[in-house]
Amino acid sequence: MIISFISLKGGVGKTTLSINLGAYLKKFYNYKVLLIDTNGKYSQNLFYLKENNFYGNRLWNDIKITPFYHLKIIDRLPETYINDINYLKRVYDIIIFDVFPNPELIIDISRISDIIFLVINPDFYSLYVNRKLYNYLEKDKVKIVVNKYDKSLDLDFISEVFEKDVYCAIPMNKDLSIFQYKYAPISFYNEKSKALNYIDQLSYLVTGKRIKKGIFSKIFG
Amino acid sequence: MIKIERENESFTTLDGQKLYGIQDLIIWLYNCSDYDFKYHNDRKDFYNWIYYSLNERDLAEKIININNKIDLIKILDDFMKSLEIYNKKKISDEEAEVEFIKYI
Repeated sequence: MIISFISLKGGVGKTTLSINLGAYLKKFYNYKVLLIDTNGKYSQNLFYLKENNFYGNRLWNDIKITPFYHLKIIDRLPETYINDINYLKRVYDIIIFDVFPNPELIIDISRISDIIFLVINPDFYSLYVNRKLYNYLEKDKVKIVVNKYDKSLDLDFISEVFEKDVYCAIPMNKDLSIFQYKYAPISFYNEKSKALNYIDQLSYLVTGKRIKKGIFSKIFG
Repeated sequence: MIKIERENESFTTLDGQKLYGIQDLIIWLYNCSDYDFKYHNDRKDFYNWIYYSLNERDLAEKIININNKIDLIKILDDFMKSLEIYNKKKISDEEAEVEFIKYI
């Protein structure tokens, strides 16, 4: 399965969510996960690596092994990317793309994705540019994720703009802000973090299961 | 080492792919034809590369008599999984800031 995290606006939390979803699927479901980070030399994932030599020009060359997921950092898609993805699909259960906010890159990757998380923040600019982007995407694959949600924009309003329900609204959360300082995704240093309830909701589309249930689900089943 | 230190130590396969480490080899094995596998395996190419270029002598000895692609993948996979062990390290916020400065 191929999942992509996209947004035409930077800083919305795509990398944070892709890192934590990848690690969550590895930790709790033991999936073979490959995270393809298209942010190149600006990648946050460089924090987890001890060496920064990159060899090869194929997507499946020189994949880095971390305890949380396997990792490939690129600054552009190679021309062979469709063949390379077919290679990788035979090895990995889940391939997650963290997509740099470049329109061509987003369109190319969204075409090969099974699930597209369109990540927005509750501000008008984020809504505006991503609504424009949404017109070019296969809408059936898209799930709207409102990250850093602070109720400044009503979720119903956001749903109206996209003519689609918001799949997940993730409030500001300390763990999602500071996990980089722990040098590990949240699942690997704090299994009880409330942030994982939201990651679990994202993972539900992959696994069909919920591990982290809300309090009403726990009481009423 | 799980990958080469110099680009000229890469392994070039019969079908023209360049492999830079054990993970590349695993992915190639998943996708290669039986003919390509047999060609390299019969010549001990995998053994020689892992032994001499990657200096993983114990691993090379484990695969020397393997003639089956699936068994080879399993041995290499198990080897790579042993590298995925996470050692939880407690660091204070001050230590984290010092570490962070090094990146800048």
